[in-house]
Amino acid sequence: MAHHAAGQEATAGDFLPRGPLARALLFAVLAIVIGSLVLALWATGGLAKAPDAPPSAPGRPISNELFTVTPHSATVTIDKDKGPEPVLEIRADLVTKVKEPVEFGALNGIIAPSIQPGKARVKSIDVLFERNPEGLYTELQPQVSEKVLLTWPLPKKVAPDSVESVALTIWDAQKTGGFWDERERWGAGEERVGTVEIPVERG
Amino acid sequence: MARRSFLSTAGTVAMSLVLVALLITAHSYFITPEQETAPIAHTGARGDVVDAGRFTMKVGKVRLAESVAEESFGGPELQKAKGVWVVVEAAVEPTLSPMQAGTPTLTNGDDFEFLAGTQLTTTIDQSSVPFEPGIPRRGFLVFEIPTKRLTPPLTLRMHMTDNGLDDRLAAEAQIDLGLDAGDIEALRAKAAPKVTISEPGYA
Repeated sequence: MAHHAAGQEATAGDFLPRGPLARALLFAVLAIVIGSLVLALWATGGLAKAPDAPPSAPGRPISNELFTVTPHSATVTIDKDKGPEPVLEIRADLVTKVKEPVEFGALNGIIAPSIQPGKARVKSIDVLFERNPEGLYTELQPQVSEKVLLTWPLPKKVAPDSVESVALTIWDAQKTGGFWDERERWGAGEERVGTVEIPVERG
Repeated sequence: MARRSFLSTAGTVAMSLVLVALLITAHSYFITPEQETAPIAHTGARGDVVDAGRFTMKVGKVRLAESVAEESFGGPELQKAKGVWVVVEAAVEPTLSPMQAGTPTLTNGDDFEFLAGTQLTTTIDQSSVPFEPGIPRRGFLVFEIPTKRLTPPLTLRMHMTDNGLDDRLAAEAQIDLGLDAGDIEALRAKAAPKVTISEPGYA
């Protein structure tokens, strides 16, 4: 007496239809679906990185999750009040999309100018409000549109007279926690939202 | 020779989906690092002495103003609001040890959070003198707010820290200004062209 009949347990492939014809049909359908997906991928350019959009002209708004910025013009000047170092200034309209204040420091890395020629990077953004340039502000108020001067100290290795233009890249903004301090803060993501080529005026 | 019935497979799939949905729901109830370390709020109403443990705070008269003026080195300085200034009279007194003020915020009925004006120096929070226990500091807090964001309820939040840096689990007073839509309308109707923000008083 066979008490333990074989084949009680489910084995791999059990979920497939039993009949050979049905199985062949199923695989044919799968092959067609996968094939057409591959074809569609090939037709849309494959997995290669899409080329970056060419830089746009100043004056057009660029938006990410955190703010909308409209850069207008750029200058390299020496601000006597702030010190002897030359400063890169970009005049822009800036308005946040969130409901809480945003520290100026959060814009570091999200608004990223690269000095042309030479592609030198600048660090430490500061923001001045045009309506009160002497006022000490630290944050953008929620959804309050401001005419601002975005300023960065010019790197020492860049001669102020050599700067011809600024390629301003706006990255997407993401809220992430830090390694030690896990509270979430705004920072730059990995996608370019837009690039603007701004000619530099002498100030 | 029992293949598993379709019904029991469907049941397993359905149960799995339900469990995954429950997991996702449970995840949304996780306490975030922000919530873990947020200031500990003590709520109260305008006119009451709100005991926030490490300090007490009392909020008095609330006015609206088109500009505020404060004494500065070069004589009185007038600052026009983009929107309107909400000028709040307040008194703050640490209970145990010297403390530093964090920048207060004003939250409206639509969950917008505005930071107190940082461009003035004679408001009680921006003055660089530390708060001493047992010595109440009376003066002004000012908030520059777009008129359309004056939606009730308006709640003032102020936290105090030991060193001015680490605001995790700080003591916080959260005070309802007690203004309904009618009160706000009345305040707007008699908004002052100018309010002078005098130095804080100690008594």
